[in-house]
This record gives sequence, structure tokens and C-alpha cells, in this order.
Amino acid sequence: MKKFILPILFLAGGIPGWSAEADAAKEASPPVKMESAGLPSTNSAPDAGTEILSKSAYFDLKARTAIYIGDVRVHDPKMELTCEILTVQLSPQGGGKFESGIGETNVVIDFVDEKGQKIHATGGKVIYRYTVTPTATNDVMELMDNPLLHTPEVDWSGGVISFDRINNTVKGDHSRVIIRQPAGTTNGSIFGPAN
Amino acid sequence: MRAEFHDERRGQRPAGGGILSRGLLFIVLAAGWATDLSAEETNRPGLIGMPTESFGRVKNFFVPDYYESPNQNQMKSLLRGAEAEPQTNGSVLIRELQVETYAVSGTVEMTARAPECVYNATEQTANSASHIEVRTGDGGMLVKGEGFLWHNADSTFTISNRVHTIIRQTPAKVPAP
Repeated sequence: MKKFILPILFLAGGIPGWSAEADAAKEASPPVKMESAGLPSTNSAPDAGTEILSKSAYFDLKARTAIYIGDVRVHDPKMELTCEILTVQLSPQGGGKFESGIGETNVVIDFVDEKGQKIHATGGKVIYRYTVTPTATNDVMELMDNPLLHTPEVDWSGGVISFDRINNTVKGDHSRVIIRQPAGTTNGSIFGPAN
Repeated sequence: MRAEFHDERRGQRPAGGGILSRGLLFIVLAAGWATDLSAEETNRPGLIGMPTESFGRVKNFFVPDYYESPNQNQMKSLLRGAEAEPQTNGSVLIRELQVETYAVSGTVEMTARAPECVYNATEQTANSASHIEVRTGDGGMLVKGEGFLWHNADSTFTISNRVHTIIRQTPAKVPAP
């Protein structure tokens, strides 16, 4: 599996079917485990091109850093991202892989999950990290600065919304979660079968 | 004047000869030496430094730069140009620029192309308002834009306008042929 076309692909593939009850407002919530149909594994992204457009850019070849500035737009087969500043840390492995990325100012992310649901996320900042150590692999995205994650079923807002791609969990730190009951359902179990 | 040319083996210092650094190229050009070094005329690709009747210009040149010891035989970068013309301010106008950078292993790290740029040997910078295209050696990343400033000393460059990056996943680093 390929690691990642773009750090923020974190969301690509969707966030369908959270399986646990969403913790609500104003408290750090425990990680919400997602079902197998949730976030894709790190290696599931297809090998399609990703475009990054910006007004200007700065590249540090020694530090393997690229900073895109001004009207940054990312077009990917699975997602669209806009922001004002996008900083990416290229992987020393090369091959168009990234270790981390930071999108700043007016971050807007749109993608379609594996169920075909449209997911819309906004925030002042998004941070993606991918690290591998002898004992663990971390693949986490954090949306912050008044973040909002809107799905047809759930809205997350506020605090810091973290996505752990390895463990397929979403954690809201001081976030508010609003669960909407789809029309026609009676038990409100939009995250999976009612127990 | 001693003529030197780049060995066809990628990234290897030619045996028995010193290198013509970018600084030396600058000096050669700034001194106004007649240096029409057309590869077609000499039939030796990349020949540098042979004086001819064309005043102050170098054609079809390339300038290798090598790592420091203990990798002194490994090329660090290779600058090519269709023509280099000294400017009044001491800089050099290079047309049809192509720069390749290499890792110590000899792998191509990056290739940059631009229709023209102005190279300042003192500051080790190159800049232009023209189009630039930069491609990583493994093919994973292609960057295009308009207008750029390259700092050779710290290996940084800025693209000023209309930056367009295309990223494609590649299996692994592609070694230099």
C-alpha cells in the first residue's frame, strides 16, 4: 500500500459508520472506533495524480519541505482541499510521499466516503502526521481552530477533531457532536445496528 | 587554456582533470574570454573553455559541481545551457537552462528547466521571470510555475506565480542509469 498521496488524504475514503456512540460536548471524548468500512487504511489510496495549485511556493530541498502560499487548492481523485498556506514535509523515501502536512487559514476539505456520502470539513488549521518507529506507526490528522466536520449523519465541531487512520478512530477533544436521526428511522442507530 | 568536458558516466568526475566550477565559469565569462564552445563544432559534448572568435559567449556548455571529500568524485550538480552571456552587472544570462542535482549515491534528485535565467555567481543565485519546470528524479513530483529564484548555497528555490504541482506515487527511488 501506498502511503499517501497527500497528507490530508486522511479523510479520503470517508468516515462512514462510526460504531460507537458519539461523546458530546465540551469534554475530551474517548476515541470513537470506526467500523471496518470506515477510514481506509494507509495503503488504500489509489495511485492517481494529485494536483496542488497555489499563487507561489517555496521549496527547501535539504529540509525536504514545500510551502505553498496563497489560494492553495488541492485536487485529488478522492478529495478537494483549499487553504491559504500548505506546508508539506516530503518523505526521505521519495516517490511523492509525505511525512506530514499542515494546512492553515480557511481550510476547507470536501470528499466523498466509501458509501458515497459527502463529507465537508472546515477549520483554521489541519495537521497531518505520519511517523514510523520500531514500535508503532502513527497516521493522524487533526483539525483545529474552530473545526467543523459535517456528514449526513453527524456533525463534529469545536475543539480538536483527531482522526487516527491506523486505528480507524475519531476523537473529539472539547468537541461538540450532533447526531442526526435520518428520516424514516426510529431507533436513531445511524452508526450501525442497534444493540 | 585547458579544455575539460564531462565524463559520460553520470555523476563521475572525469579522470585526470580538474573541474570548472560555476564560479570559474562566471570568471571566464566576466573576463570576456572568447568562448564559443559549440558542441557541434568541437564534436565533443560539453567542452568548456576553448576560446574561439565569438566574444563573451559560451554555447552548449555544461558545468559540473562535485561533492567535497571523501565524495569528491561524485557529481553534486550539473548545469547545462544552450548559451551563456555575461551581463554588465557581473551576472550571466543563461538560455535554455537545465540543472540536475545528484545524491551522493549518484541518484538524480531533481531536474530543473527554464528557457532562461540570470545567474549570479557571487551570490550563487539564479532568477528569472520565465517559466520553470522542476521534476524529482524519481518522477514522483513535478512542479511548474512562472518566475523563480534559486539559492544554490542552501538548495532552496521560490516560484513566484501560478505554481502547479503534480504528485504521483512511485514505487521506489529510481537509480540513475
